[in-house]
Amino acid sequence: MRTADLELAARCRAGDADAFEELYRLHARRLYSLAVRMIGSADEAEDVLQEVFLQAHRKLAGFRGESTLGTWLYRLTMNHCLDHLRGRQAKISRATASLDEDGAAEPVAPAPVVPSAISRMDLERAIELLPAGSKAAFLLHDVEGFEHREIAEILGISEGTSKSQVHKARMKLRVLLSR
Amino acid sequence: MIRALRPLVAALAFITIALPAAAQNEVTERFSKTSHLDQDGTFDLTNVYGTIVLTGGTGRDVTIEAVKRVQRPNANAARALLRMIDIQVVEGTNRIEVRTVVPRPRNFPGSVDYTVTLPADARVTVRTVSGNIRATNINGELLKSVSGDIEIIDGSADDVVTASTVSGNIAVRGLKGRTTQLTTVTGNVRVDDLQADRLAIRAVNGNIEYAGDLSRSGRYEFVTHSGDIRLMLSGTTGFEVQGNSLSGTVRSDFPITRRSAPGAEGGGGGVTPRGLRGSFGDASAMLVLRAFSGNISVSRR
Amino acid sequence: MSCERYDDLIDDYVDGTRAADRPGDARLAAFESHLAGCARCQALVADFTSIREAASALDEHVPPTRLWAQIAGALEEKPRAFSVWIPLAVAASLALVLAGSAWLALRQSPTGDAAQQVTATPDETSVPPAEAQYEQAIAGLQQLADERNAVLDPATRAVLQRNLAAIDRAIDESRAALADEPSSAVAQDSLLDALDTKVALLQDTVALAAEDVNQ
Repeated sequence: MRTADLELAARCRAGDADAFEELYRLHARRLYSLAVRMIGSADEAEDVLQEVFLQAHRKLAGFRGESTLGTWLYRLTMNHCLDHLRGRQAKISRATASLDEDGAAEPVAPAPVVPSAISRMDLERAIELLPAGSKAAFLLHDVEGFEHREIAEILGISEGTSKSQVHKARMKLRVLLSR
Repeated sequence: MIRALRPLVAALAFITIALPAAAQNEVTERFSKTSHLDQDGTFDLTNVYGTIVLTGGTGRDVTIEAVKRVQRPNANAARALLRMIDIQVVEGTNRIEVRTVVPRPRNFPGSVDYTVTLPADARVTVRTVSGNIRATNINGELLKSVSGDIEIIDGSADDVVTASTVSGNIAVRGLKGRTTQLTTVTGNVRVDDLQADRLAIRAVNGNIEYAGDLSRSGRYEFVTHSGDIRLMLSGTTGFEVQGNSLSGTVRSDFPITRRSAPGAEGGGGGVTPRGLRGSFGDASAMLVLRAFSGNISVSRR
Repeated sequence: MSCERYDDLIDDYVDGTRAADRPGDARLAAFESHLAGCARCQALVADFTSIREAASALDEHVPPTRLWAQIAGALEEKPRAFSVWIPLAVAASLALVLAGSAWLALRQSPTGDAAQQVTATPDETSVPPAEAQYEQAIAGLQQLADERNAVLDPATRAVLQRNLAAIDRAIDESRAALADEPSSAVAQDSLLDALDTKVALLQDTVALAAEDVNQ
């Protein structure tokens, strides 16, 4: 896997336009999906994706294969998404801040509250309301399927933090999705 | 033996009075000093007004000739002012620092013209406010003027050469450098037969002209806002070029082939009215040419 | 309730980790036997599992097809990343000027770390200062220049002012072009070039004025 990555990176660095398009085709959809869900806006997600690939093109010279190209791109994407979110107005964070408090106080009912078949719309809407940190970990873990070790690398946090963030996200979603 | 640092004042003084047609009295005073520098010594000159001419030679001697000049209707006043212009020479370990010191206020009708000869390998730094700098066969590091032209002829630099003026032209001919940076705000830059690995030229209101060969794997970046960029290339070095003008025209005598780009319709020439993109020959040198409202042309010399 | 102490294990369990796979893990085994008889934890596991399954089944959002064309287009306009310019050490120069070592500041700009730069290969990952950083440096330097340039002689001051105005014109023209065509890399580069030149000129102005004061 690493050799293929290093080869592709080398070809991109050498100015091989086809190689860079290959890189795009391999990763754009997942990165775009991640960006849409992190930021909550398709337009801004487009901007992020463009920024990410232009930045990737510049920084490929420094790619040494310590992570996979995918992880590396996810990291760039997450950083851009978090930057975009930080620049946003407080409206969303106010909503999620109250969720934080609710989550802490919520007693856990002794029966399942979430429908066993959750509609996609409901889930997407609920994810949008998560605070940035737990949203990031949740998207990478439950939606993208990364392991905590990989999430730690992408987000620059510890594995333990990754686990607790995913836990927080699931707890909040449970509240948001309960019938 | 280590030379102690101590300021020295003029060794010789000739005071002459000239009476030009107008009612100004010009008084001048000569200053002369010899010294020497070992291999890779440093020569650092700071002036206020006046021209500076430096010539590099094979010997180890350094000769500093200067003419102080003051103009005043009253000859006595002129002489008094002349005495207030101080030329300080400080000699350190393989290092000579020369400074023109004038009292405040700065609006001082006096100047010092310097003529210096020194070893060709000495690292030279010159800073002046108003006046031209002409350097022949030296190892220049920094030549800086606010108002004044800078001329570099021949010479061999083993480090970065920077020539910078705010209002003035820069002309470089026959220099052998590694990294060369030339900047002016208002003025033209002309380069002939420069050998460099990296050449960066920037002008705001002024033209940039480059005539000569390109170094293999050389990197050239020419940027101007309202002037033209003209390259007149000789030799056989191929190059990759990125040339853009926002509102000027772009043309090339050389056939430029565009690199294969995804989604590009039909390959063909890499020359459009506003842009030059692609490569010629073995694409070993790299050219970045940027004009805002001026024209860009790449032609054969 | 003693359930909370197992909360950190619920997620692992939901993710498929079983005590049988981890023979040495006493806590996990304890949790599984607790789970068998606890409605609260079973509810959490059930809900988390529903969420996890629904999340993994979410469709991808598909980027619009024009996005690649946009990226490819933007790449075409960018030269192979290299910088011939020895980066203007904006912050460093400002610090030196403030420390009062005027000619030293002049010495540092623009040759800066010349000795290192000459032998180093161009840093292809370095990003030039962004517009915001330039604006910041300009504001600081302009203030210094305004405070100090009265000591410069009128002729020199006039030359500096005239040329500063010329650079400001270039900045305005670049900004106008950028406003017309926000995606134009040429306009963006022109703006950054002009800002860079302005910083250099202001540094020189401040250094010259400080030099005067020191006499």
